[in-house]
Amino acid sequence: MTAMKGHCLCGAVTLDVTAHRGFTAVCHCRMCQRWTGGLFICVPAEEADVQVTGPVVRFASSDIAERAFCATCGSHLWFRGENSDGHYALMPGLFDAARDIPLRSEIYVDRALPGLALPGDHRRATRAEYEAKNAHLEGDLQ
Amino acid sequence: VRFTASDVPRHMHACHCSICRRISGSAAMCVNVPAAGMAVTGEVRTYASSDWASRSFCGICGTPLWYRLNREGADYSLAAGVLDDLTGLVLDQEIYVDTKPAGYAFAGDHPRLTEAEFMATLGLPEGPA
Repeated sequence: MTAMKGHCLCGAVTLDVTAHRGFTAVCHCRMCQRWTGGLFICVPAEEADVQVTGPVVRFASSDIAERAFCATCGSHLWFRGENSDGHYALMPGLFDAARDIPLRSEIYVDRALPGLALPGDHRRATRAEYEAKNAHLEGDLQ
Repeated sequence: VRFTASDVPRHMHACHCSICRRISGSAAMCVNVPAAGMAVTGEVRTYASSDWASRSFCGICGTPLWYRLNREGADYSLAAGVLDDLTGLVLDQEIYVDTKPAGYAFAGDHPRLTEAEFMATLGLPEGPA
């Protein structure tokens, strides 16, 4: 996959990605919704393919995941879950070259902001469907 | 961070400008509320994203809170997802659609304004803020 370089809004955090998985994914769970302000989209990349510099704050959003942001401007950087092989779920907005990466999947679709629908024929899973396949999840926030 | 807001409308708009995308990761979903009804507690950090606007977030978890123009009494443009009650929120406008990434889109027949069209409504120079 194509390499890409990115940075946060203020420029203090830089990211050098040598390869990514070539698709984006959306999560509408209540925690992702609250953390992003509405729409969580990520582009997954392997741990070894991501180099980061700058003032990164890592917030443990649960026992099994962290969410990172720039200490200066608050730009969101990534989500990482222990049960997802340690890959980075990077925020595409950090990378100019991520604009055209296609959306491949949408999970927790039944929890999406009520006025928000993403058209297309990508894969979709409800909260129940997704959690049935991911037994380590204890359920969505209210 | 906790806050209460009054006169919260049941509609939100989506902004696809380069600053919103860089700071939120994708589009910013916003609900505008009047400043007079806002009461906030907690560790709020504010970043001046331009000479005429700023963006605030939680210093602990990074959750985006709001966008404001640097005008006395300016509305708080709240990040929709931080509201406890999301019932009935409707997407009624998209702005900066000319800079929206090609990889995703939002359904609906609401108005879609380009950067030039939106900035004309504010009386501000063009460019993300």
